[in-house]
Amino acid sequence: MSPDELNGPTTVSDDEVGTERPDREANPGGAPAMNGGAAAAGRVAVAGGAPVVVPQTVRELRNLMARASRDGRQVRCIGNASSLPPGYLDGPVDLVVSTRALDTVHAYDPADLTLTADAGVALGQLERVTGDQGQWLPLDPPGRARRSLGGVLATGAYGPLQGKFGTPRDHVLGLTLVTGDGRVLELGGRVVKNVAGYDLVKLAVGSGGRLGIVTSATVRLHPRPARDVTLLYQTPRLALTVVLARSLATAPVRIPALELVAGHGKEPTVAVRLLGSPEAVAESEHILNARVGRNASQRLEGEASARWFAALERFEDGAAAVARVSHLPSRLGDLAEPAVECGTVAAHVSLGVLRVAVCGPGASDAAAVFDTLARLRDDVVSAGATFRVSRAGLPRWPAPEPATAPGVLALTRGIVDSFDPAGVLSPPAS
Amino acid sequence: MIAKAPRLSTGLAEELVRIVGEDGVITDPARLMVYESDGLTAYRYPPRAVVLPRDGDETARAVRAITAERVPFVARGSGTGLSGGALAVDGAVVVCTARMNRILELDLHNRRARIQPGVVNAHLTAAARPHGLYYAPDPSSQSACSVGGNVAENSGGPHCLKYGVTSRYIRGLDVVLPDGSRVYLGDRGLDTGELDLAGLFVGSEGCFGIAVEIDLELLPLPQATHTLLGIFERLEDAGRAVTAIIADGLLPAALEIIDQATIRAVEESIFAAGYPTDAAAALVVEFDGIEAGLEAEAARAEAACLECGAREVRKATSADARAALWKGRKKAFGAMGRIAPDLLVQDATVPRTKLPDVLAQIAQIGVRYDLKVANVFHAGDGNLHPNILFDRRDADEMERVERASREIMRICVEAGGTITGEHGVGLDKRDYMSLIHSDDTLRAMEWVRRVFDPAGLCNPGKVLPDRIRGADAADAGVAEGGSGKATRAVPAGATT
Repeated sequence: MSPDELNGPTTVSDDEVGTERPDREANPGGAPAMNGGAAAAGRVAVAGGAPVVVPQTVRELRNLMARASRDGRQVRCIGNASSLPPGYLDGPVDLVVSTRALDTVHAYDPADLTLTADAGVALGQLERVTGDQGQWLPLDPPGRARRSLGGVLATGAYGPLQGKFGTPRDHVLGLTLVTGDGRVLELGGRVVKNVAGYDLVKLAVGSGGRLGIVTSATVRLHPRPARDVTLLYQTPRLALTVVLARSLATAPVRIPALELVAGHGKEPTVAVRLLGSPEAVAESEHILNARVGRNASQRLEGEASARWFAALERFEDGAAAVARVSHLPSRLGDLAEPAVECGTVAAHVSLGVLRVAVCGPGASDAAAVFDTLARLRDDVVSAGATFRVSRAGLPRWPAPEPATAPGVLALTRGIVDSFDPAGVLSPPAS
Repeated sequence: MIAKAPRLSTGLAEELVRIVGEDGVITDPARLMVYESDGLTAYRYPPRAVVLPRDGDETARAVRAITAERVPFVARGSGTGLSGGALAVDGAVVVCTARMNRILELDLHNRRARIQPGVVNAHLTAAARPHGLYYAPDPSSQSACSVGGNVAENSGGPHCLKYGVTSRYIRGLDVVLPDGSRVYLGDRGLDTGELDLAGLFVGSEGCFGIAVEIDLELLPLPQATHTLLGIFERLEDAGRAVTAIIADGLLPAALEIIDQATIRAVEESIFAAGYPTDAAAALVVEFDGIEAGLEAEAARAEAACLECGAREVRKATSADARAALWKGRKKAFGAMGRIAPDLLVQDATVPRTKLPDVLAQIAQIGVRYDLKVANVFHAGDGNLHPNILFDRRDADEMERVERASREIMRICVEAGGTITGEHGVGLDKRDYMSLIHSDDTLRAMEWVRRVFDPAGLCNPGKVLPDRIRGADAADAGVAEGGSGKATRAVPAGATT
C-alpha cells in the first residue's frame, strides 16, 4: 500500500486512528536496536513501507481490524516493537499496529494481588508500580523491562523464573482480545480461580498474534520475597557443569531459577536463584551445597542477585540469531556440547530448554550463520530434541521448522480461522 | 430429573464387546443406574450403555464405533464431578475410564509421570511419595477422583493457593478426538511455538475428546508443614485475618474457612474434630516448604489472626496433629448428610477482599428463602462453596434452592467474581454463563468446540447455553442423522 492510499476509502483514516510514517517509528523511545542492528520497527520499511498505526482506544483498533478483515488487508501487531519473532514482518504487510498508546494501568488492588493493565504497558513500568507495594510479576523474558505486557502475552516469552512461577499462561487471569475480524472478546476474568467455560486465555497467550491483538490483561502478582540470593557454581569443564546442574535440578528443593551459561570463552557456570524468607534461603543454600559437595564459587545477595539475572535478560541482545533447543531435562548433557560449539548457551536446566545465541566472528555473514544453525539443528534433532530459531535479524531462516503433526495442524487451522476468518493476522509461515 | 435412554443397537453392542470384551460393556438397566448421576445428584440421565476401554487404542475404536451410528458419547472418570458434566444427556453412551488406571511411567530424573486417565489422584501421589515427589493438585475428592477427570475440569483444591491448579502441571495429552482419531496435544519442552492446545483441552469438560494418556509434572515433597487453626467469634474477622496474612507478604499453601453451620454439622457427626460449636468460624492456615523459617511464618500468621480477633489459635506440625486440625474442614461435606437428605455444593469465586461483604449477602439470601446455607471455602483465593441443604422431595424447597442459587451467582458476579472456580459449568451452570460472558465470547467458545467436534456428538448439552449451541443441530445434523460435517457459521454481526 502506498502512503497516498492512507486516507482512501478502503483503509483507515487519520481521524479514526493515529498513523505514523514508518521512519518515525523506527526506533521508539531510543530502544536499543535488536539483533545486532536490524531495528525491529525499522523492518517495517523493509516490509514495503507499511504505515504504523497507533490506536488510542480499543474501539479504534476494533474498527481497524473489522475494516482490514473486510478489505483483505494484512495486519501485524508489533506491541512496542522491542522484540519480534523472525520473519514476522516479512511478506506483504499493509498495516502495522503498535499498541504503545494503550498504556494505562487500570486497576491495582494489592490486597487481591491482581492488576489490570493495557497491553502497551511495559514490564518495567509494572515493576515500578507493584514494587512500591512489595509485590511483583515474576516474569523475566529476554529484554524484560522494555517489553510490553501485550507482546509478552502474544509471544508467551518467559525466562529463568519459570522454574517456580511458570510462563505467561500461568500469570494471566483474563485478557481482552480484538480478533482478526474485529470482535472484542473479554476472556477469562479477574479472579485467581475461574473455570467458567473453555480456557480461551490459554489459546491467546503464546499464539504469536495469530488469533487477535491483546489490548489489556489482568495478571496475578506475588509478594516480593524477603531474601534474593544467587549462587554461581563454576567449573572448568562443560561436562562437569552439566553434571552439577542436573544434580541441583534433582535436589529436594524447589529452585525458582536454575540456569547453565557457557560458551565463547566463558567459564561454564551454573546459576541458582533462591527467593524466600532469610531462613529458608539459608537452608536451601546448605542443602544445595551439600548435594554437590562444594560451596558456590560466588554468592550474590539482594540487588546484586537481581542484577546478575537482569544481565541474563540481555543474553539475546546483539546475537545474529537465537536458536531454541528443547528436550527432556535429563538429556541436557547430549545437547550442551554441540550447542556450545555453535554459540553462547543459556539453558533453563529444569525445563530442558537451551537458548543458543549465534554471534562472534563471521556472524554478520548470513550464509555463515545459516550454516551454523543447520549444523546445530542436525546435531540436536538427531539426539531427539526439537529445534527452532526464535530470533533472527538476518533474512528469514530458510530451513523448515519441525513439521507439525497433521492432527495438530488441522485443529490449529480451524481455531485460527474461527478467530481470524479473513487471515488478516497470519504471518506467512502459518 | 430422570430421563429415559434409548437402547443400544444390537450391531453396536456386538461391536463394542468385540473391542473391549464382554466385561467392558454394560447394558443392563439395573447396572446402568450407577452411571445415571454424578456428584451433583439433582440430575439423573441413564446412559444408553457404558463402555470401559482398557487403553487408548480401545477408546479410539469404541468412539469410532459409537459415533459411526451418530450416537453421542460422554467421558466419565470416577463420577465425583459436581456440575453434572459427565451425565449422559441425549441418550449418550458413557465411555468410562475406570479400567485405564495404570501409571505408565514415573520418570524420576525429569520429575514427570505418564499415566492413564483413570488413575486416582491420591494413588499418583502415593506412588510418587517414596521417591520424594508428589502430584500437587489436591481436590477434596482426591481419594476417589481420577486425574482424567481433573484434566477435564481443571481441578483445584485447598493447596492451589500456592501451587496452582491442574493446568499448571499438565505437560501433554494423548487425546482421542470425537472422530476417533488420536492426536498428541502439548509441548513437552514448552517450546514448539504451537498454540497451547493442551492448555485449552484442560478444563474443556469432556467436550473436546478423551485424554487417554497424560504427561504431568511432579514436585519435590515439602520438607516440612506447619498448620494453624484460628477460632473466631465472627466470620468477618476470619475473612479479615485472611487479608491481613496476605498483606503481610505471606503465601500460605492453604487458607481455608468453615463457618458455624458447618462446624456444628461436623461436631454433631461421627467426624467430630473438637472445634468449639459456639465459634462463628474456623480458619485453617498451612505453610509448607523448607523447614527453616516456617515457624517464623506461622508465628506471623498467628499474630495476624489474634490481631483480627481470633480467640484461640491452635498449632500443629506432626502429621497426626495436623490431620486433627484439618479434620473439620475435610469432613465438612460428609457431615452435612446428617442435617438434610440433599446437599447442593455451590461454587463461585470473588476477589478475596470482597469475601466479608459477599458472605454477609449469602447469609441474607439464606434467611430470605428460608434455607440452611453452610459455608466451606478456599478463602485464600476467594473460592466460595456455599452449601445449600434441602430435601428434593419438597418441590417448594427445590424451587427456593434454585432461586437462591441464582441470586448467589449474581452477587458473586457483581462483586467482580465468576460463576465457578473449580467445579465447572457442566449441565448445571450453562444458563449462568451469560452473567459473565458476552454472546461474542460464548460464540467464540462454541466455534472452538466445533473445531474439535464438528458433529456435535462429544458430551452434548454441556457448558454453553442451548441458544449458543442452538445452531448446532441444524449445522451438524446430529438429531437428524445428517452428514456430520459442520460448517462454521459466519460470525454474524461480528465486524460491526
